[in-house]
Amino acid sequence: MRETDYAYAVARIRANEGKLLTTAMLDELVAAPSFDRALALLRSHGWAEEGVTDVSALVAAQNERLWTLLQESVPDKEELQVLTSLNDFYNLKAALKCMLTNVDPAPYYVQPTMLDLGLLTDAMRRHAFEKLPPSLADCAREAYETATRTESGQSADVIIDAAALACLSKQADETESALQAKILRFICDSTNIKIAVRCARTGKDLSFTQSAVGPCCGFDRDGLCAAAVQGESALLGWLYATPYRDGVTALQRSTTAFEKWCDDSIVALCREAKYLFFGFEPIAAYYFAKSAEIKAVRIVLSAKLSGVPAETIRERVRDLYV
Amino acid sequence: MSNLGLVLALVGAAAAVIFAGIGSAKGVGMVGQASAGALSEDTSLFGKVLILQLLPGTQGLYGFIIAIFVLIRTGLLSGAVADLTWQQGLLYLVACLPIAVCGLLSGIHQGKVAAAGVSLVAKKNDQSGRAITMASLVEFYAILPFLISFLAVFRIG
Repeated sequence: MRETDYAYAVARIRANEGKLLTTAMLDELVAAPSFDRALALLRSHGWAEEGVTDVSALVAAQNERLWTLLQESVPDKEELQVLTSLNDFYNLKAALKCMLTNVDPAPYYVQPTMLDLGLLTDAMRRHAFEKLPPSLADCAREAYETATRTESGQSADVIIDAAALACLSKQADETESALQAKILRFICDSTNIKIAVRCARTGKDLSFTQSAVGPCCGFDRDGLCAAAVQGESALLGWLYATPYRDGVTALQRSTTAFEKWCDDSIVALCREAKYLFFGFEPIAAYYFAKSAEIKAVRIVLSAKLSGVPAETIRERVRDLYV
Repeated sequence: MSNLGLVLALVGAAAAVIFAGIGSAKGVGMVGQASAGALSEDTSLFGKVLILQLLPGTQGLYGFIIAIFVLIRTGLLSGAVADLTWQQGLLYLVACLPIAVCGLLSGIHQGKVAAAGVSLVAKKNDQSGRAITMASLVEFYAILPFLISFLAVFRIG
């Protein structure tokens, strides 16, 4: 695909970028005295439909609108696969767990996904893993066999998570877009850091940590695993010498602060695409930017419903693209 | 070959039309795609994006004008075909090259700038003046070779 083939998509995305919430608008939302006032503000910015007051419904509508826009804009829908592969693996986990517990997985699936969810449910129920896309088939079979053998959902999760990270790392290596590769590698590394921290906090051994941590891009995988086995402070000390030093500061505060730092870093990377007028990058950047906006609004509205003070909300909301 | 001079002159005219036309077609096509993207979100932008889409179309027009002048100068339009030597024919061919080559390249590049301009207008619709100015600067490098081709065609005796 040539970069100029994205002229239609980029123009459409730029038109929609003008409708993204700005930091000033988000501040106004955070400062709103009540949930109803916050909702009224969102309506005035065209974010919320009249009559819809449920946060989940609002978020789902925005996600659906985002995905429809991307699908209508890009010259080849298959290219969007790179944006949804993590959701595909998440849905595989949901399908596996629901199959093992004999529960309908439909309410647990996340969107957007390029995966045929009916096919996923059916393939998992019949144990016909070969019907799944090649990126999922092997890990689905391995996760199922492990889960039934060990009767441990965690072992299956570890297998699927590691496969998801391997898939992201492969996509980062294969993409021709430098920005997309940077974002995918960041997601890979930051997820590995989260896994390593969890392993360190729960005192997992080296063998388990190595099976849980996926391919790393910005640091040495073996070094990360070895540091995680020595405990959290050793791990943070080791990470301080990597390009993820700023993340360590966030991790020292809390896991929530690290999650926020990860989301903010992705949005910061996406800002590079503001100066590109052709290619897939502006589309990918818009996807991450709009997702960050949706997450920020969800946090604000949920906090407003629970009566959380504005100052506390401000600490949690993500940076915006605009 | 007794008509070699005329053949060379016609090759020049054809090159001016074909290559400059390709440049314009690519440029206008690219801006057209971007314009459709912008209009799918806001139809009121039509007037602004139309100007941007027209800009890369001029190269094809310049190539067409040069080709017409070659046809006039060689007498093909009037029916009184001139008896050109191969050297004269070659001169016509060379005279057509500036607009043929620069028309092709400037058409494509102006199309890219104009398509980027459409994206700019789609995001900030008060920026159309700047977008048009930026795309117009590329036009300068289509006008210069057009003038050179035009003067050269007229000076060939």
